[in-house]
Amino acid sequence: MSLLDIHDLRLVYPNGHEALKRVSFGAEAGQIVCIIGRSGAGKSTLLRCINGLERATSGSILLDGDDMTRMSPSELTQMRRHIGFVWQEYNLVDRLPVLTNVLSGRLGYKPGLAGVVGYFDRADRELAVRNLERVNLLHRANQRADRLSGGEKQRVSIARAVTQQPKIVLADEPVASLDPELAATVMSDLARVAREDGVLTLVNIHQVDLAKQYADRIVGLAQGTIVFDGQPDQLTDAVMDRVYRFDKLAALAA
Amino acid sequence: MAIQMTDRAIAIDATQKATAEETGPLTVAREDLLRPIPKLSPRALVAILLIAIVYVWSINGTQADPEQLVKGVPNMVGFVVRLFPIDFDWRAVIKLPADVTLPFTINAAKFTDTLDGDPELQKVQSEIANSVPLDQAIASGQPMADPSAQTQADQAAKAQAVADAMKRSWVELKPSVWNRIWIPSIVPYVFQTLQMAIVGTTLAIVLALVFALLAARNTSPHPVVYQVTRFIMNVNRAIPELIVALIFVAAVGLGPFTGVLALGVASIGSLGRLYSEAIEQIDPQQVLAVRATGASRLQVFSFAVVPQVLPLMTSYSLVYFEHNVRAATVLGIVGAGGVGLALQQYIALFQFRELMGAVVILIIAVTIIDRISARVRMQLI
Repeated sequence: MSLLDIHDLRLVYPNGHEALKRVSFGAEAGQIVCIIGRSGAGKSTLLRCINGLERATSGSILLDGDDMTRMSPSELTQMRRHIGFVWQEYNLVDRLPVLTNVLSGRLGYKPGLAGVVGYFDRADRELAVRNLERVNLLHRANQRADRLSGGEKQRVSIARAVTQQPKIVLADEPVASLDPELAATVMSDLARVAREDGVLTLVNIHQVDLAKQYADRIVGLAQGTIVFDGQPDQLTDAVMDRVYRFDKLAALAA
Repeated sequence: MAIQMTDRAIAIDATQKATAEETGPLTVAREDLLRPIPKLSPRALVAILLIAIVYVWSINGTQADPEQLVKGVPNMVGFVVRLFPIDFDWRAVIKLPADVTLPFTINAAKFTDTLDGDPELQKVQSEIANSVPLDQAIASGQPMADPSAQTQADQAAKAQAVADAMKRSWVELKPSVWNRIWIPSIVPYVFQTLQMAIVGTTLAIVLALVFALLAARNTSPHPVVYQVTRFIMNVNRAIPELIVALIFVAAVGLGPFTGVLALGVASIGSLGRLYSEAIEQIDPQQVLAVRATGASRLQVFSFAVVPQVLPLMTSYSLVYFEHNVRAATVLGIVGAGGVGLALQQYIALFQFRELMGAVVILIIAVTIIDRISARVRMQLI
């Protein structure tokens, strides 16, 4: 059985928009899967479903055998600590120091008052410091998160995600707000950390060249369905047309 | 959450478009634009009339009578004259060792002379033997379960006993005025008021934070909880500190602890409302990110919500601290400790010169506190 097993996932928003239409795919631990597709193809929705931020209309998402779609809110909170999330807009808590932001990845493991008052033991701090080191930002540990540049923020956010010691990392367009140079370094940091930890990583990404460079596997989404699933070198122009220019193809056919 | 918000934004956009289409392009009459005095619409006339009615009604209700005021000016002057010369009601607090020489001199003769010449004081002196010390006088006030039962005579007797006790230090120390440190007798009360404000405000902050968490749209666990806490806070806002203090006087008796409880509870409504509005303005994405790490509701609150609202919260809390210093002054009137108690005694005994001295000290104290708190606020924002 795969680590992540999505079966017939369907999501209809209250306004009637069908964001995901019977999506099925599986992924193994240690894989880096890049998900490409146009804006509105359902990439973000897919990641948010896996994390339980959106409740699927039907279908199942098995993560290590647990079905994310049939969990109570408290079970979902328990489950989320195994899922790291990297956001397009970083979403660090601006007014907290960098290290505290990274440490917040441990919150899910801290029951009771200790987590609320911000007490983290040495082991937690060790882990957070090590992960901050891995993204080369240890020298920023005591600075407030809003003092960092975009690229630095995203690397902190990667450190926060891996500090959860997750089974899976979901990255929702992690480099979309960065310039091409920074995008490459952040993407390489993300891929390196993911490979070192052997953690399954799903990355929504618009930069196809970066996807080809770092992914083990690429999934193409268009209009809520998977239209491509394969190795990076199988991503031909014809496939690209199917993923990105489906409307023009339809117009041509008509 | 983000999705919901975009939906709402779109909805607003759509309604705006709709109204713009319905009204069409507005026509402006050139003549109207050239009028030096704008034409009043019937609606504006009604509004002006309404405001006028409200003022007439209000002024009538307050029985405002300028003539009476003018006639009363001599009386006012008479009263103001009784406030002077200011008497700080000095009182010895520390007896210095005999070999200590003060860096300044006190005209002891002046003190003793005024005391000896005072027939009022001689009377007090004779009563000292069976007078009640100040602390006991305060403590002996019955828990005010039924305030109406307290007769005026009782109150006057109590006030007299307290005054005796306050004077006692004078008389006992008279022979050695010069080797003691003297302070205005209001000062310990000012410190007590300050202590009440510090503890009371801290209590208020903790309570208001809990209420704010439940009463902010984005952190409230359930719409029913949201409505209920909002309602409680509205009710709380409508109850003056004095009434809250009376309730706690019934519970824990007279004294500064009553004042602390009153300040803490009376501020929940207004402080909690300010907090909850600050919480509603935070960036939901940062909250979402912490929630996505598997943090519990309380953890999300302390890691994503509190850091974002901290500057505003601190600012509001300091404003409330200043407010509570002033409120604590009034609370003494119902026996909840602090300056108010001393002020009430001065008023009851017609000691207006001492009253004026206390007011001067109060002005100085409140000014210093406000300055310090303003300075702290500047540093934090």
